[in-house]
Amino acid sequence: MKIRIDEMNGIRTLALAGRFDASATGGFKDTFKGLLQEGAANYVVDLQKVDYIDSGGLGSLVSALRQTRSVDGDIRISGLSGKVRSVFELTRLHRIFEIFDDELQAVKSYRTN
Amino acid sequence: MNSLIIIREKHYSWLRGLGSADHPAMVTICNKPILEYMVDFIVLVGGKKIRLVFEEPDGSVEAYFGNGERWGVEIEYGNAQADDTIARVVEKNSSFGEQAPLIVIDGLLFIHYDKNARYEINPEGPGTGFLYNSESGSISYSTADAAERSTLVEFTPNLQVSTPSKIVNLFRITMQVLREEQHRYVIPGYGADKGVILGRNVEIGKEVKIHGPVVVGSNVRLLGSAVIGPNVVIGNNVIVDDGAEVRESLVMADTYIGRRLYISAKMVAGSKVVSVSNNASIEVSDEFLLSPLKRSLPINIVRYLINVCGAFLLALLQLIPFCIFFTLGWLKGDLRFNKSRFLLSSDGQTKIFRTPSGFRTGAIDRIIRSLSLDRFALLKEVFSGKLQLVGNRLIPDTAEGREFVKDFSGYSPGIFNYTEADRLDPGAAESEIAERFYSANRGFLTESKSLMKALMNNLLYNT
Repeated sequence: MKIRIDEMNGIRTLALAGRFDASATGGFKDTFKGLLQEGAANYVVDLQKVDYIDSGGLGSLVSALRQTRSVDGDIRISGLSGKVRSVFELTRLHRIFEIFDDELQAVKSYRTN
Repeated sequence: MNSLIIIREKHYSWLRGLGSADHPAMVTICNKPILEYMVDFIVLVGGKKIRLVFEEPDGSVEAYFGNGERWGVEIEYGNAQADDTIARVVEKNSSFGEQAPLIVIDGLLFIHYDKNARYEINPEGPGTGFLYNSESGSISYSTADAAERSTLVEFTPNLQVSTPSKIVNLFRITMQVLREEQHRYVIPGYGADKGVILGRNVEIGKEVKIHGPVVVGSNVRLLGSAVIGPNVVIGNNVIVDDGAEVRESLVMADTYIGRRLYISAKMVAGSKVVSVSNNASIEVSDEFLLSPLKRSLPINIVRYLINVCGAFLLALLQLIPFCIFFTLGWLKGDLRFNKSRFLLSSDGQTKIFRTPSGFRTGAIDRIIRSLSLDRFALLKEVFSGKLQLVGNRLIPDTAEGREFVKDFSGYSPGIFNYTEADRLDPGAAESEIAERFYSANRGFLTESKSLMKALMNNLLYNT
């Protein structure tokens, strides 16, 4: 899985691409740990180019959310495609994460808060 | 024109379980889901794309509406959270609303449209507008924020809206549609006689009398000398037995009405009867009088056989070590068993299982755990079909457990579970994710892998 990291209006965005399964969770966790150590608290994770996500990938997103919330931050999700959205609904993660259509809107939503 | 239809299920939880509908929006009025009337209306006013936004999606709505091809619109799906305002939902669905005007319908409404009328909405548009139920009971279109509703424009011609907030309302709406407005909507079935609409595969006995207006669903048997109507809606998959008389009533899907039963001014769903005058309901326990017709689910025989083979092999492997170590443990006085009631399915079935407890930290206990011998006694439940070899975590029958399982369609407990296969903390969110994920993606390979992982984890981490 590829991870592209950017910054928009002070919000870190992580655009993931490929399969987000158990084999990719290590890389995601390490990347996220590094960003947390840099002091960033608010994130947008864009899953538009993720074509598969399993319980390992979802679990690492939840674990990252727990870490950010412990420092009063948040993770917002954008770009859920049909299959990935179904998995989010199935596992009831749409109740935990704020989900937006696109990355830009998710970034803007921090300002409207 | 696009439209967002927001359904907040918690406001309509009383609709769940009414008939065979899994989701409140799929509860029917004259055998057509309420949500379908809303979709029809959007199509009528020129809608091209509809996004259905749910707080608690369950898949049944998506399975019914698909991509909207049947209605000639594009239907998409989205989610909202419980505390999202309308503005927040619009913000979250921003890319969808780019092509104004956008009509937002917040809530499950019954819009009394007329399929033959041409509706014009706010000539001042475009912009985001909200359809809402005004005090006069008419439906308006607001171009301002829903909270302000400063620029209100009535539809031309005027539209009425009803809110199905209680069973009595649902009954009244249905009766209104049945008696006065049948011609305004497309109701499933064909017009057999004046005011009588029949679905597919309806068997009518020679002496049956039907007094319109009546709407009968599909796969219905009206037997012997039953009397139906006036003012009756019979849902799909219903049997009305010989001599029964149903008038001024709604019979929801999957119901059996017993012989010579007289039903008037009632709403009947399975074995539940609700009086529409005072909302009082009773549950009838005599299945010859009134009962739910269970749809026969195809039993997955292959899955059952694989489970049984797996359990049999495991039992063979465990039999000798089980006899040795349990005898030793019993002689030492270490082993105790607990009888607890566990949940078996999301519809609340339970069973008492005897599970070992009170293990001490001795060598024998560790061996028993590491070889997964503590599950041996449960293997027989795989043969009876009560448990899977690999499935969801066993949840005790408590109020909290029932609440959890109720919201978990497809819950199917196993002797070994997905949480232990992935070495997750049973109380953590990750465990719930894994349980739901694997439950929805069951298959021979997934389950074999989970079984191996669970056995290996027990072996490696208990020694």
